[in-house]
Amino acid sequence: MKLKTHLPDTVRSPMVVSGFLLLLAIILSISTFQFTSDYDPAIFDAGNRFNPPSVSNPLGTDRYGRDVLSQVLLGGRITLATCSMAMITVMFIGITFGIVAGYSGGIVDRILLSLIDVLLSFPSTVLAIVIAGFFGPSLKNLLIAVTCFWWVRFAQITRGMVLKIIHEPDIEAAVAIGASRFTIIFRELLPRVTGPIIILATMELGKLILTISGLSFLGLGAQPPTPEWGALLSDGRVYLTRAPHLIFAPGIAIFLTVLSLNLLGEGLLSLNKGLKKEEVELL
Amino acid sequence: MKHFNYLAAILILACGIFLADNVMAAKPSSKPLVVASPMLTHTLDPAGFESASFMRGMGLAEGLMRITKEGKIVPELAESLTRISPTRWEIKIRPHVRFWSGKAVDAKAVYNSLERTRALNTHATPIIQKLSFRIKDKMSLIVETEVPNPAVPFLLAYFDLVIHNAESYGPELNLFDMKAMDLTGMFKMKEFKANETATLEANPDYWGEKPLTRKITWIEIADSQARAMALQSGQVDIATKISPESAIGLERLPHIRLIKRPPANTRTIYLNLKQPYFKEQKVRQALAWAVDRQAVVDLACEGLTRPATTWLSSNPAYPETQSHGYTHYDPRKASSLLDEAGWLQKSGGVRSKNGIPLRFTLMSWGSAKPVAEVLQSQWRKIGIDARVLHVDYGIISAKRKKGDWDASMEAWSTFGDAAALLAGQFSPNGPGNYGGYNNVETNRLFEQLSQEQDLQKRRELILRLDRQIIEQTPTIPLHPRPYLTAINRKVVGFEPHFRQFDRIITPGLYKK
Repeated sequence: MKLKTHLPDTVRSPMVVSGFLLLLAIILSISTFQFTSDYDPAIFDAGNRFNPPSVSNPLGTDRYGRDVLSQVLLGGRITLATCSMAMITVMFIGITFGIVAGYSGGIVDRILLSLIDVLLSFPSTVLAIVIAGFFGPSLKNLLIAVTCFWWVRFAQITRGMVLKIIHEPDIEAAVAIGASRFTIIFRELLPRVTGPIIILATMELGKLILTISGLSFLGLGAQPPTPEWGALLSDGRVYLTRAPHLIFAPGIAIFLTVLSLNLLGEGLLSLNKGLKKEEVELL
Repeated sequence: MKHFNYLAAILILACGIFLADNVMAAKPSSKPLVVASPMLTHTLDPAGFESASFMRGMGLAEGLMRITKEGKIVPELAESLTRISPTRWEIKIRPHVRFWSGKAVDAKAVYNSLERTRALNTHATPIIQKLSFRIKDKMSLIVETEVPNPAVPFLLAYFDLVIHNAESYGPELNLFDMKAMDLTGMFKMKEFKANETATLEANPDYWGEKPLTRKITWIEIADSQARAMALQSGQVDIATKISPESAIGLERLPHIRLIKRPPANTRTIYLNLKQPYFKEQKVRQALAWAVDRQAVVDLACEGLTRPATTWLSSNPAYPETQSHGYTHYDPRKASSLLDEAGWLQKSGGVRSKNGIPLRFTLMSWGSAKPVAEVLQSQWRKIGIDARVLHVDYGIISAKRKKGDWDASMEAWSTFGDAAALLAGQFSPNGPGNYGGYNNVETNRLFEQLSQEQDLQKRRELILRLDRQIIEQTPTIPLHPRPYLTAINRKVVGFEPHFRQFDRIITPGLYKK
């Protein structure tokens, strides 16, 4: 009991703990595989096609005799790396636009707000399909397509928080003593919007994985032999009755990863002591 | 005694049921047939792009000649086609044939239909422009060619050339007006919902053998797996264009029959010969020797087709071509050809020459993605880095137009007039010569072939051309593209055709 009271809140939240442990397990599996295996998805083994799960192939083999577990782990690296890169990019763009709009106010704010409104009015997935279709299917183009609209929510929330923060006494005091814009943005505003934005990013990462996997499922993402999770699902779909393990393996991987991120995000959001009520409402 | 009476009654009843079942089976079936296909038709006008071939398959339309399932050209709406001189043929129209509207199919109606097709159907234009027609009498037409052309029967059997009532459709394309439809087929279109369903009912005034089925519903189901599942669940009776991946699951089901007749087409890798590495014949040959075609067939097509050694080798009329060209897998020869050409491999990586890696993009579309993946894997073994780009055909077409491409896959029909088909692929202006192949010796052989009228000598020239082309390897033949139809075993009378889109519906087809 005594120990529990000394633990930080985050550790006492079952959602945060379970989400974190699940995500850690996934990342460790993927990383361990990357550093210990010399698996090459371009090498086929025609004699081992569609093998069911066994000791040598715990998740069975695919139509080319490749180990499905290796495919899923390698696919996980690609999916998580792609989505993380996309998330960092959208956070950077979103925070920058949000702070500039909120802090500048006036015409700059109105222009950026209009841009945000325009982008929010588009069905984002359809827009991503159009962009990825226009540039041709590849993970790089998919990243560009997703980044083009995903930053908007980050910008919107950052702007909302900045508009509230800038009227607080400590910020007004900083302005009064002649602190530069640079100092105000980087020493006052940025640290205060970062916390809520990280929580938002955790939750949005799950959605992003689903979107990128969905677009890859449609053939707009990774090209062979890159084993991205959505592409693996798409390839396995045609063998649903013959080799269901081909669709279950990447499907479960996506499910567990998104679940872990959602648990972590929701858990962090529920521990809102560090956040103000209006910041939580914004999220 | 009492038991004996019961037994006799049961026996009589069983015999009655058996007899009734068989008698019913021979009669026109009241049970409607449901067919699933990835596309119904592009338009309702047979002069619209590729629409006529859909209508032929559905039993709605007919041509002057048709290709039988054995590969013979026989008269359809023509009663006969007679060669009266090297450049002149006479078509006698079959008497007593009427369009659905009741209008007689005579020489004038046929002439108007052919000229309307010439004016509006861009797909049929290359075929029909070689022919000029004039009316001889009420039921006869004369066909003339500028140069002697022994392939006129093939041309008149062209899949996109059907006879329709030109007056009903009007001078312009009449894309989706069902009221304008006036054809001669054994079935009439009763209802049509674009991209959804087409309901057909038997044509009571049909000139030929009356169909045993009264009503057929065609359903458009774009996804192959969904079509296979609809068949599996009994929702449809026939599913066309099933992918090998879906077919292999269906094959195990006792109530499904899979039609696996290899089609006469060759899935081919087209190489952009303007790219520096593909300009080298040894590189092209190496790529072709490094393809294990049997493995491609087994891994990418579930063994439901066979390897093609040359482009023409899928044509059943030229079986000797199967001993030409790339008859086996020879990665050693491929490696040595690349070494000779100066494309060297260091420590198992990608081969390079003057610092340029042997790396290109192979574009695939439709069902060819697994083929591209297997090729990528096979080429990698000899140090060739092929990047697969699986896209819509429109993107491939646009890239080829711009010249912004390395290699792409496509399957063209190899059945018909072999000289014209080869010219279409390998003569400088051929519509299928995407890579820009232009060889003096090959062109000379094509010229010689165009002058030759003796059928045996033409055949020899075609075989020489086949050997000449495969030696140069401007394209890489792989295999006939599997084209599978799956049917419920309750469906009787299905006639497998090597052109699986042709005559899917025949008069003897019905559901028990």
